[in-house]
Amino acid sequence: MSVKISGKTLIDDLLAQQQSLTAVDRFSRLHEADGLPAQAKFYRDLIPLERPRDGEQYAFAVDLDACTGCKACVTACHNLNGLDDGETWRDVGVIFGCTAIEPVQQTVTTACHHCVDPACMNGCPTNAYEKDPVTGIVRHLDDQCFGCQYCILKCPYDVPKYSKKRGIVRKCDMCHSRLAVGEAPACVQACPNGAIRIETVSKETVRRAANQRFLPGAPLPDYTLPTTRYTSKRGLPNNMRSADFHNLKPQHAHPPLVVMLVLTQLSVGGFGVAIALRRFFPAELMQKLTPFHSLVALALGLLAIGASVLHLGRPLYAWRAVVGLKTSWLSREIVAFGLFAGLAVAYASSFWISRLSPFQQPLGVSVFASGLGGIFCSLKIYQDTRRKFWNGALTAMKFFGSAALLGPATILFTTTARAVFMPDITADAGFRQITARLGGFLIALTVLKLLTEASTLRHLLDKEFSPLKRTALLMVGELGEAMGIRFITGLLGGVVLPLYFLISHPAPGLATLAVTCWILFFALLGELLERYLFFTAVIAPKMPGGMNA
Amino acid sequence: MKKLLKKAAPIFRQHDGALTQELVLHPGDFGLGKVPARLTPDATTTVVCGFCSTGCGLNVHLKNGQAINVSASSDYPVNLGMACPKGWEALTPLAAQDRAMTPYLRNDAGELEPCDWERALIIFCERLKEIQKKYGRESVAWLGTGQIVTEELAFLGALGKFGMGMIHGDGNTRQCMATAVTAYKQSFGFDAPPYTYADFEESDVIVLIGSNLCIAHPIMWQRICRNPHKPEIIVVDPRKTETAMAATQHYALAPKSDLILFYGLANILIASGWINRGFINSHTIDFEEFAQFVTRFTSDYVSEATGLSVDQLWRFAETIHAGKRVSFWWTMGVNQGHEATRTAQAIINLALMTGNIGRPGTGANSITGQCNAMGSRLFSNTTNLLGGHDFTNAQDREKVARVLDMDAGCIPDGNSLAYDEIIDGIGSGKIKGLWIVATNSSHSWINQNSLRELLGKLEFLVVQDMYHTTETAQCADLVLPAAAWAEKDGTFINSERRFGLVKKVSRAPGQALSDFNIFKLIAAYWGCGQMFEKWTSPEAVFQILKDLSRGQPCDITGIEDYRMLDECGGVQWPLPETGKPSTGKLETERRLFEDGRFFHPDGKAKFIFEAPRETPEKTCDNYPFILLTGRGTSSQWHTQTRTAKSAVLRKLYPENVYVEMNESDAERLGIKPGELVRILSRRGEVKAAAVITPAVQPGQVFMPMHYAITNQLTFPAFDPQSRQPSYKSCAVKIERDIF
Repeated sequence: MSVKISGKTLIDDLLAQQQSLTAVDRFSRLHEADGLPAQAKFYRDLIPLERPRDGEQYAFAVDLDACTGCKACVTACHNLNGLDDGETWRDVGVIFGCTAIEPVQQTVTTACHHCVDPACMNGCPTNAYEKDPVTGIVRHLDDQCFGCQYCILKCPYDVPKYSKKRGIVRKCDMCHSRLAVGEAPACVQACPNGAIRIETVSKETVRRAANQRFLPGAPLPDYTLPTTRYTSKRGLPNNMRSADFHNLKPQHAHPPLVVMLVLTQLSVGGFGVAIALRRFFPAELMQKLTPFHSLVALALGLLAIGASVLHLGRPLYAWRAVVGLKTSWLSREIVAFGLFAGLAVAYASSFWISRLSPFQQPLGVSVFASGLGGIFCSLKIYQDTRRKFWNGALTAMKFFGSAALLGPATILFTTTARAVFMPDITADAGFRQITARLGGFLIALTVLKLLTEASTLRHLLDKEFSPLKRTALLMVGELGEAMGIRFITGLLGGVVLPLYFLISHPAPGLATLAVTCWILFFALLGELLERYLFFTAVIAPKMPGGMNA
Repeated sequence: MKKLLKKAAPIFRQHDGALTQELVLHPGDFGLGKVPARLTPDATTTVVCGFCSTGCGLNVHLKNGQAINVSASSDYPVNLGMACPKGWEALTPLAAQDRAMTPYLRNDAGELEPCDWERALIIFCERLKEIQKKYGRESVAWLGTGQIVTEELAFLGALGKFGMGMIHGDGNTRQCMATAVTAYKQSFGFDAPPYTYADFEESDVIVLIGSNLCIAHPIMWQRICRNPHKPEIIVVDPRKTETAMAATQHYALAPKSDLILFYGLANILIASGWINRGFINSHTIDFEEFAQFVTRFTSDYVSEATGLSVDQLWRFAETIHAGKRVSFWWTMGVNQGHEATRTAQAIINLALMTGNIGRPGTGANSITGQCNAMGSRLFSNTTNLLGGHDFTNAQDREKVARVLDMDAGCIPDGNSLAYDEIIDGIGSGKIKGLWIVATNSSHSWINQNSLRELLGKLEFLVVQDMYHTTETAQCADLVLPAAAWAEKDGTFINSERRFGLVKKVSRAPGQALSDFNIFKLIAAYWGCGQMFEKWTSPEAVFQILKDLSRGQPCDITGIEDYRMLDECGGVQWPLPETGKPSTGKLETERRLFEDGRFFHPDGKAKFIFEAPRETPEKTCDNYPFILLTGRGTSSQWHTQTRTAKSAVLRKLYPENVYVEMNESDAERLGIKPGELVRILSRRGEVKAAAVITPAVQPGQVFMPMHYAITNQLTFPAFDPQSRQPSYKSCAVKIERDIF
């Protein structure tokens, strides 16, 4: 019964009509092509008239009394900067508290604080951050970035955001190009209540206020000297906490970094043990063992470095890591481990290439020294973020502990394998001595390391809901399973199985090899889990967030 | 060497490149300032936003006629350069993956299966005609909306009642605005919100009742922020909302004690002589009865009932008295109550007795919800006959029939059932076929479990929507794919009675058609196409609506056409032909009742009142908490069919449903922040994460309405005058979810 009009069906006619767009022809345009920004009348008073002078910079100023949480700023920034689906450079959180007489809640708009001493910039291994010498705007050079995401760990305000599809980080640039021509940043243009403005601040004033809380619920300014000024005539009680204060969410696990850290430490430990054994055992025996020890340590070390490249969003630019040597511990780590890898190749080769053998001893010392240096840099990378769970002592115990634990485990395995497959040392008493010593060492270190790790759980008793208490809660809560397996594997690989060598001094054989294989497997798995927890259980400082039930 | 270094420098420090270029901004022209280079428009045009009733002008950036970006319109008189997050993200939901791109028909296996328009239309007509034949005219009804343009609402109403012979049709506006409609009609003689947004800027006292303006209508809050008179801002709300925080006085009254509060305030004002006798005498009736009636609301009694102290009551009254330009504004906290109409009228009474009406910065002002709730109120042909006329009035029927060039006999002479009565009708077997247009009843209707069960009893359910995935569309036998806002032309009427223009600036996906075109097709296939011969385009229908409005309080015969609406930044009703300025520009902000004449035949406003009643479901030992519901964040809209489609908006609201409760209650029940708890009412049981906040009072909990499960709990009580559901009060209990 199809309805027809002038030859076509009505349906076809209407479907065609639906697709034609004629608004432009039918309606007038309010602004001609070269019109000045029509929003200027609203934001004229919200941006500074003059460029900052010496010792000054631009900063966001937020009038909290005017911020009522409409979040227009977030979406305007998104639209007017052409960000990706779901990408946002501004955020709006809530803080709750109470005065003696009434409840108080305050919404808080927040973006990059364009810090006087930007942690993102200081940590960047490629110098992909730049603090504009005139405006003080902290800009990210998107094409310079290779996507290591260290700035995300460094920023205490959770500002830089990783773009997976590009393999780089992007962030708020205070709409520097708008400010340069007298236009207001998108968020300033869009706040219905005029709560956000750009002002000029003296960097000295910011420095002097380093120890004063700049917003309840926000990390203290002393680390990076954020320049955003939050003001409220109403006054905010000190007991205010962010709405997401009680949210406990595991952080990103960064698997390539887990592998990289654990295996570099294994490799350094392996070389360390291999070299140390040469001091205590007859040269004749060690001449048979060390080449294999160093070969295995080298192979795993190179695997680690390979894994670290996988972590990068743009691995082809890995070489840029050297650029930030002056300020970035990440650069230093990469350089140190690069050196370590080179020296390790030379050292391992020296057992096979006779021309290198005269340098064997100095090479050995250098390999170990550069490796230790690399581990030290690794530890500084994390300590430098000022996250409580990544404090220096605890991280040192973990990182050097992994080296000291996985080194012996690897060498124990390599020694046994060498003995089983090339039985020229089967009868040597040295074998049993080496394996017993390594076994004992392993047990002692594992106990020490597990106790250290478990010590974090004492914070469960903290009265304050401190970052370490939250870490401990995660460890027994959402991450409880990983934590349990970590301790079981640790005990198996580091205590139970090594007892075999301590008690029965076995001769090399397939059974013994199997035991060493399991030791290495469990010990390694345990350390990988420890490192997984290192990343996931840390509490990342951030600006107050919204309710995220 | 230096040259070489300079050349090599970018390799080590690359300041530019493809990635950098992606974010480069270019001058956008058209008064835009800088815009992303890849989104540089070749034209711009203003389109009124399709979310809430504020009616903001959005500046749509176009390339080859197609919308590519949105910013707030700098010159539109409503929003003055600003928009809320929904407005900024208005285009995103159009591009969602789950847009209905073809009709869907439920197959024998019970699944929705794509079909072509021809088949869909034949089935639509066959099935509904069959039902009408079998069970009578009353057995097929429709549930409409406040989300489509006025011309479409009128088409739906005329097609339904005059063309298809239906008797019963109602809209989702029943859920938000019916109370204000009834209150105004009874008090003023016509459904006439008297204000203009400039009143926000002119008042020296602003009273916001049951309105979280900062979140629900951020752009109206913006207008308050622009008020240069340092106004007292009074918020009446059980919760310490964002708006209550920003107010100068907050009265956290006991839920649903508002009617008593306003009678109490009236009593204080009258007893203290803080009233405007001159205004009362000249422009109102029934004041003496009212004054007598409120004497029983002594401060002690009111204090006891509302939980506010006597001092607070007096401070409130004194502030009203001290104000020279006091405006009263209310939203869903009032409209959605078991005695909502009387509460709204109690507010109107306060404005009348203090003479705070008809002058700048005054008024008893209902703030509407949906973008075209006001269009629905006047032109949906449901509660009122087209154009604010009366179905039961023969003269009105004659007039409408004359304008539409049809037989007056086609017009039903009785009122149709209200939303809740249509739903009840399904249960009683009266309603067998239902056509739901642009609303998501399965999520939004009160006591949801019961509704979902009833929808299953229908013989034929048609859902017309832009998504085939809404909770309601999933229940349908037939889904008709509709074009969305900005994919079609038409007008919305905003809260301050402003007609604003929606334009087709984006192509509808697949075979989706504008609701207007769908109605046109249905008319043709039903066999009543002739009746709508003149209804060729939305703009043609706009001309018909003008004729319908002639002589009514909402007379718009002075608006020439769409182009005039576009050029004026929208036009408020009324604008009769005779009211147009002969020279100069039309004033952009106009209010009603400046001459003190109301729309009752005697020109006077009425004091209407009634003794308060207790809430239908009170707390008890088993259900000790009062559940309040309402809007969660400014980035969420109603049932979230659209706002959930934007990744940015999703970031701005909690992903999962939550329940806000006071610290003392949480402590007593051993509930920790973020813990999943069970909320039980006599009608349902749901789980939500506990948010522990001082913003709700002890004994009360709050759940946002945007999450579907909330309405499994709500109690189906209705205001007797307006039939609006009372969403904001039911008894629940909270338990830890230990299993």
